[in-house]
Amino acid sequence: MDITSSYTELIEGDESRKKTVYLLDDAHNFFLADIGGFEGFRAFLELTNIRLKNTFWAAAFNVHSWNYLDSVFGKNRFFRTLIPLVEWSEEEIQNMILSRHRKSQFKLAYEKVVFAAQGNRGDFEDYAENTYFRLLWEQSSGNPRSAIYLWLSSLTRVGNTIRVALPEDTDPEAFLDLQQDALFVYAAIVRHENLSTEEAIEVTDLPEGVVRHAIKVGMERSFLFRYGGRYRVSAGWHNTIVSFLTKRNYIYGN
Amino acid sequence: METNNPEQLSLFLSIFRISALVYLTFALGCLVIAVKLLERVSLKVQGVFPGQRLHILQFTTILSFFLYIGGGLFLFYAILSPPKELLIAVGGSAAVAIGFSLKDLVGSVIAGVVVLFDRPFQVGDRVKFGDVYGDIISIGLRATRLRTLDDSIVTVPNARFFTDLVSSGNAGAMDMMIEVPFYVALDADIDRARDLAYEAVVTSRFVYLRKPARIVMSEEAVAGRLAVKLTIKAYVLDVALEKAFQTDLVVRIARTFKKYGIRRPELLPFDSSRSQTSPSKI
Repeated sequence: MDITSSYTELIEGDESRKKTVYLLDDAHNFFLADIGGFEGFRAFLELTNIRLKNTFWAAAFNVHSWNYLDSVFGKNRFFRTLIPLVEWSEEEIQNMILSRHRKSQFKLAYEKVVFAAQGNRGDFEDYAENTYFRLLWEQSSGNPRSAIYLWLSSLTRVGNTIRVALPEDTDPEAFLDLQQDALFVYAAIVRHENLSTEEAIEVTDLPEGVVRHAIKVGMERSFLFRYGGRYRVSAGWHNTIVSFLTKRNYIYGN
Repeated sequence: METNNPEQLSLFLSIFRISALVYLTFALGCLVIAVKLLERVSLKVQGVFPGQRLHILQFTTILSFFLYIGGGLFLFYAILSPPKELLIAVGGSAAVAIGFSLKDLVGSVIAGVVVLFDRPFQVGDRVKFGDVYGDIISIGLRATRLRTLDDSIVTVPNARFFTDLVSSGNAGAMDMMIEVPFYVALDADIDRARDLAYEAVVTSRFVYLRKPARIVMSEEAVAGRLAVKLTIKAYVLDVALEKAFQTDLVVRIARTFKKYGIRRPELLPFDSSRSQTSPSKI
């Protein structure tokens, strides 16, 4: 069935259809926070709220986009069931990473972590591993994608051994010298999860040069990365930038 | 009595030794430097914890206040070591003298303490006091200072806050509600106008949506004609961006109304018998 063709086909074919669940990933791409930029989201709401017996919808949203849409349209007025993806526990993060790593056959060495903890190698190997994963969990805020990114950024291969250093430190002081306009651009990217340069200009209503400069600085300092012509906040900096912008009211939860 | 007077006089004069006075001056200077250092540290801490900026400012103000009063009295007592009789006599006389000659000043100091604890406003708040509108930058012993939007510093004696009305726009919070009125013609598509105005508000880069944005509509006479007034009530993310938010809304909504053909109220011609031109738009 082509759900983009018309509602009539959807409604008429419902009776004869088997029970079907449509999964809409990255549903935050239905809107752009600009005047007239909510038409796609409204059409999506209209579509998913048609009374159908055999058709079901499941949509996945980025949490910051969801919080924004909640503020604009009213708190969860259009969806029957809301399933927030909670942060992973320290143990879950550790198990996920180590179970993946075991397939690689490389030996892990936590010497750098042991050294940082000022201990002796033999006595502190387990302690170092636990300490490392606690730090990783804190820094990733239980986000598995961030945790994997930080994990990979802290590894160095030496022969058959992988040396583990402390997770890459992301200091919020890196934002202190930024212009306010750059923060508006980063907040817009966080709110939409991904934006092209043209969309960032449209959404922030800032001059093109200002937006391009903010993106350039963000790329140089690894706050942002580009994928498919669109800019996203990098996994390593995600929590730091979200925390920084939240404290200043640029983005907000509910 | 006569035999005691010279002794009391010498006792009184003995506390004002040159060396003690030098020490006292030096110590008071150190106290001032300590308070200035405290203010510098406070500025750095505000940079590290921007979300707590207003609370840190408030705490620094209270601490400076008590350092000056408490520290000054302590230094006077510790360095000059005045006898108890003298303290009682001086204290009594000073109270009477201050009470009469510095009535307003004492009133302002007491008002300053009341303002600090009653908190009708805090350092960092955007307030309106009489004709003055601006940010509270300090609450001092005698007076409160405001920085107006045209960057003037206005000093208001604290005693005036006992009697006059003062309104705080944000009451200690970073965000603040602003109101922006817009007018459209009676025959304009007002539902469309309201929807467009709302979209302009919620998509502004300055808006703080953790608190609700609303559009209130009413009819009002504008330039001798009835028009529909849309009052936007929304929160700006930081009080310092109040005017930037207001400007952003005015520019974007005016632009959008023009783009979507939302009619604005028209001015009546000044003299219709002499004017040959069509009514101008506001």
